[in-house]
Amino acid sequence: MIQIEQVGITFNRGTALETRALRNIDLTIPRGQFLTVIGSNGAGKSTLLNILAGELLPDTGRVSVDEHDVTIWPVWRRSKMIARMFQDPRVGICEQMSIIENIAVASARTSPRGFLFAITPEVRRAGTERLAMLGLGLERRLDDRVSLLSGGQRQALALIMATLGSTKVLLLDEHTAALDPAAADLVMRLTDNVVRTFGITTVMVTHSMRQALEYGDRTVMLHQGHVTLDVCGSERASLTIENLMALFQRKEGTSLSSDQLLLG
Amino acid sequence: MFKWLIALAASMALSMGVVSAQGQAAKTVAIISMNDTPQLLEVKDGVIKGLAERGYVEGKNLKIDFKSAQGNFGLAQQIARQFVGEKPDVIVAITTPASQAVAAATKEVPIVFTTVTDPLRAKVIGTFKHPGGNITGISDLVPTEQQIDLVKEILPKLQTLGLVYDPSLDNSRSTVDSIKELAKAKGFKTVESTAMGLNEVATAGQNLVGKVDAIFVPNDTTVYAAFEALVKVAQDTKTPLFTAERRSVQRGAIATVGYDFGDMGKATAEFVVRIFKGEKPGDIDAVYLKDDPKALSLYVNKAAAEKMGVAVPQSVMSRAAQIF
Amino acid sequence: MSLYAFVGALETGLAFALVALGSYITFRVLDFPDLTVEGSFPLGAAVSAQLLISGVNPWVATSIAVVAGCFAGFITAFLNLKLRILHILASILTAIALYSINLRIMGRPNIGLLQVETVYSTAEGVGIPSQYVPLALLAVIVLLCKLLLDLFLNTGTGLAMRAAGANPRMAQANGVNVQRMIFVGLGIANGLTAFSGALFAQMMGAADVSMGIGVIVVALAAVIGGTALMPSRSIVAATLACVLGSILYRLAIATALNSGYIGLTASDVNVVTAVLVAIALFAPGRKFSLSGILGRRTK
Repeated sequence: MIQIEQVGITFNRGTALETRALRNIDLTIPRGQFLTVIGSNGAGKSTLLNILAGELLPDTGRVSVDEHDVTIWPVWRRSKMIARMFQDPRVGICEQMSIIENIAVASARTSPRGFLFAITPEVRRAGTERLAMLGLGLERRLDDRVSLLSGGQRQALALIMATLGSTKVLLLDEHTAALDPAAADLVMRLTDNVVRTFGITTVMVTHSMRQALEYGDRTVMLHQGHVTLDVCGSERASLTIENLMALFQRKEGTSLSSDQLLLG
Repeated sequence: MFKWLIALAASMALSMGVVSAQGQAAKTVAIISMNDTPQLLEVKDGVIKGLAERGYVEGKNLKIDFKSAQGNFGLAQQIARQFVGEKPDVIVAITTPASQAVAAATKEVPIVFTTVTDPLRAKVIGTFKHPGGNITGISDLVPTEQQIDLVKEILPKLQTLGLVYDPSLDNSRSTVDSIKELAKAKGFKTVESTAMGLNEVATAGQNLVGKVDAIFVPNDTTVYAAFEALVKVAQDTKTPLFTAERRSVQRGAIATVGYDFGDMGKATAEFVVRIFKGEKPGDIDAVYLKDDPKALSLYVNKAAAEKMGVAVPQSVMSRAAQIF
Repeated sequence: MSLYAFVGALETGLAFALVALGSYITFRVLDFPDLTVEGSFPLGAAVSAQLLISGVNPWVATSIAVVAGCFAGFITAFLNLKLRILHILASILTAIALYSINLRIMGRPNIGLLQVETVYSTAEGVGIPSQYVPLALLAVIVLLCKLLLDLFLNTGTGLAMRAAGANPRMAQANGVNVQRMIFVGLGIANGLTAFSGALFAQMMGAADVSMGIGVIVVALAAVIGGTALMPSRSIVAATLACVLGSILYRLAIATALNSGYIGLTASDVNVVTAVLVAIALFAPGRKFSLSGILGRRTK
């Protein structure tokens, strides 16, 4: 499980652009939970994800995953437990390499790499099996270059890569935002399916309230660097977008003004 | 891809078909130089002139093939191979690396090395007398003892001598080492200032100003390529400037007891002619040009001396072969 | 062209093929423009020469030279990764420093190797005619290095290195220590380069401190030319292209040297190199459109 304690970070300290992106956030995510995180631009949700992933170091606070204090661990070290999907479909995969080569790199994420051949029959077999779950036919194109795949196919591949090995945590960084609606829908459904099947603790950042409520077990809304709403269980199940907006209004005293949040 | 291979093969085939257009009596001399600084080209011209003086005229009964490696060692090796494959009568190699490249490329084609200061150290030959093998030649070892004696004669109070040279040139290294040995024996100090390219020559000179009583250039082709800049520094600061070569005295150094690169080339031609006439290179003793009594003459540049505030003693002037 | 010049071109091409392979690792695999080779090539020559004239076994001397080259690569990696100096500048700094270091190692600008025992002389007596011994030895060495490199780039670590160069963010997110990969890659590449320098010096009969000048251009001509002529995405083909590119480059130079009737002189070699690289970049497969020339990034 993930424990975020008093995590805070300030950008451009001492300049006119100083921003307290996160203000001493506390958050505990139990094992196996699918958490969605929403908030308007500047709310701090991407910052939080980057801190979890290791691309940013917080100024204060601690991040623990499964009792390990990973606060200052570099990305590559914590990726043995934490996998990440990016918004840009070109970032999560290596488009110059083939599908099976990408799978091979991802397969070794949670175990030490050595000097044996990377693409063994075992890797091929496991890769084929996992890719078949997607239902996109990628398992029959293992040696194709990834540059031939569409954005949606790449995200689907990245999703499979993120679940290989003994991954404990999956971070989703608006991973459907750059896709067309049909592909976005497909990838989201695949995500839900895969995450449920392997029981991976998941944190999904999204700008779409609809998506945040439709998927996952728990929703947290960030506003100006702190947690403003935290709903789960039956309370959450019956929430509509309007309910959320009203809750926000009551809590913060202003209304949510982001079209992206409402319409996305 | 195959298009390119065919094109390459075709041009190779064409080049293999090129036939030499000279008559039977024509001798061929292939000359390789490591680079084409003016002084080294003077050597090459000297060789051609020297051959002409001895009856071998380019175009009539002599074919000359000159190639410079432009400082590129891979190219030097390919030029060496190219020459050996053409089986000239003699290969003349100018400078140490060129000589090494050619020596490594053949043990049959006669080679005459020139402008190599220390051919024993460079392992181009094993011994000067009767070197054996297919290589012989002339060393341009600077007569440092005579040079230093001349400098001390003109500047009796000399205590510290500055040396400007390019540290990547082996010939200069040898001469500098020799001068440092002499300094120990004759009781003066040396200060070195290096210039890695001709852009740094003036700076190297400026670094010595005030620290030395005079500056000496050990026949360094890099320094000679930018010599006027060094002369200006010497004149502006009234620091006496000496070299080991005649042409540079003409260009503004005070005096030398030496030869010039053209003389080097002409002396080399003598070796070439002996090989034309049937002698084996291994039987021809290698020599130091400085040992040839006709080669060393005293040259003085009076105007330069005055500009640097030096009065050349009459004893020197009266011995001078030429006063510029 | 004589047979002798032809064989000579093959030998020189093979000797420099190792630098091409090294530059393939840095420029192509790691996307790290590494100019350290201008210093690590003569470093290999200097170290091996100094050891050879001290009587050390040629293979031991050459191996030590390779290790020295690896360290040169590590220095560049350190400057780039820990001191945050731009990669191309870091490599230039190392190359500049190596110039002085090489002079120190040799004690003087040039060491003659003509009557010294070399790796080539140890290979005599194997049964091949003496004039083909260097060619055979070089062919074996280059083939071996190429095969080992092919194998390595297909191992778990090698694949990780390829990912680190192609998409460092993805590689990091997949557990690859990108910094370590750069260290290893630069080490291997400069080790190969120093190997090349040692082999070339023993072939040329001397180690000279100026030997590194122009090496990077030759290596790039081989890599670019080779991979443009043989576009294929497999590692095995790409490394073969580098080796062939190096050999073809030398054959082209040998042809130019021989073509007195065209009016080309040795001084025109630089132009020949530039033309070759330009042709290779616009070889079949590339678009002649304006956007292609303006270089829209399609990495």
